[in-house]
Amino acid sequence: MHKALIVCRSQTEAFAAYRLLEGAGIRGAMTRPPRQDRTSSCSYAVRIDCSELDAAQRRLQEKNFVPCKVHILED
Amino acid sequence: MIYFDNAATTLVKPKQVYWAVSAAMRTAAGAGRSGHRPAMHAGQLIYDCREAVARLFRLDDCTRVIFTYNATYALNLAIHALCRTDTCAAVTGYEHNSVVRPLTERGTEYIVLESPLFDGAAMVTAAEKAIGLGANLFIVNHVSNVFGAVAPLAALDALLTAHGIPMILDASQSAGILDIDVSRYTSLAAVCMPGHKALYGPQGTGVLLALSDELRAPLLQGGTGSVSSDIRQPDFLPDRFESGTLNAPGIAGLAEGVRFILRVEQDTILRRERKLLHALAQGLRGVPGTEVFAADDERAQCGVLSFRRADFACEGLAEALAARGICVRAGLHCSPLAHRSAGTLASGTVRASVGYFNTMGEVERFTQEYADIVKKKL
Repeated sequence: MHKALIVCRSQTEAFAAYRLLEGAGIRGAMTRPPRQDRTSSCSYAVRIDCSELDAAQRRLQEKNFVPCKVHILED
Repeated sequence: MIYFDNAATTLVKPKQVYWAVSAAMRTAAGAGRSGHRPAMHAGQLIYDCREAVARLFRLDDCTRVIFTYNATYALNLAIHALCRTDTCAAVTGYEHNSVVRPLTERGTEYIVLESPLFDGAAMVTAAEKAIGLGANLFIVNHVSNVFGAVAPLAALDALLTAHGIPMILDASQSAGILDIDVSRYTSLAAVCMPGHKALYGPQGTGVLLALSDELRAPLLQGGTGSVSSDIRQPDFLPDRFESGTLNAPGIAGLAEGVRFILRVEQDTILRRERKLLHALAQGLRGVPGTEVFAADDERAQCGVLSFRRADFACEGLAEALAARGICVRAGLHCSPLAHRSAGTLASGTVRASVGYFNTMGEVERFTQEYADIVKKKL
């Protein structure tokens, strides 16, 4: 199954995203994204199933949360 | 032992605080650095604490909760970030050295709002005059650490809001006791507080609520675990102000302290402390020769009570009380300005400060022991 990484600038921002998504019933896991997928070094991400990506992006948009980027990982 | 030095730090904490600190010592690694479970756990503990503090102060954005080492660091951060070369600060006559010393070090001009003890109306009048003289930044001690005098926050906020003047609030003695709903006070640029007093967290913790976007320059630059390829300090919160490894065990404990307050409710804590303080004042007044600095209106005071005698040096009194297992503080309490305003600079005072876990029985025993000390000396 493909996973999506919602990449954030910091662990705090990633936790904020994680909590926002959790509030919408979207299960995620906190992770450090691989270096080549980062916008810059040392960032954190919330990993979710790709199937929930649209819902996740809508939720984040509703809450005015702008992640650094969204990256699709292939297992 | 009777611990009446809660204004210095609270010694008795809710048991959940001790458990949280102990557990975090064993399970929480460096937050915001690595991706393994202990590091993520530390990050979660810290984020949970940000949310709890934000809830207590009705702050929408928990990234504006900045963790510091104590209130002094938070005040220094706010003062150095907001003072400019053209700043004319106004401070109450009851400010702590953690406000006066940074201003002095910077060479920032400041006006003292001269007002009698427990006279909020006079403080507001002085504030109006200070604005007329060009004051463009106010630093206000919400509750005096020497006398427990409560500053008229709502009236000052209304005045400053009308003039577009920002306020730094020193909530060292009020956070956790007096309700501070930051959404109500539009002049507040920063609220500074220790974690280890009435928030019942451990020493080594403090909080700055960074409410104004004018707070830009941090005191420290360094590793934040974010955007590391950029050699410039991050410009987003809270990372801008939090360099270096955070005190995860301390913050975990602080979270439990804040949760305790949210459960018990500040109004309950305030009523309990005011009842103890009132009884303490009555008891002290019953010993002839004791000058007690207590407000006629109990709403003008909270948590802290100072007293002195003409015939007994305050340090000697405190030492005699300590020998009987009673913990108080004596001297100038790092607030010479407060003593100057109240006329106690030459003598200092003995300060008793109650907390939620003190009891009426302790107040009664304190009064008996104090009366006995006075009787034996005279």
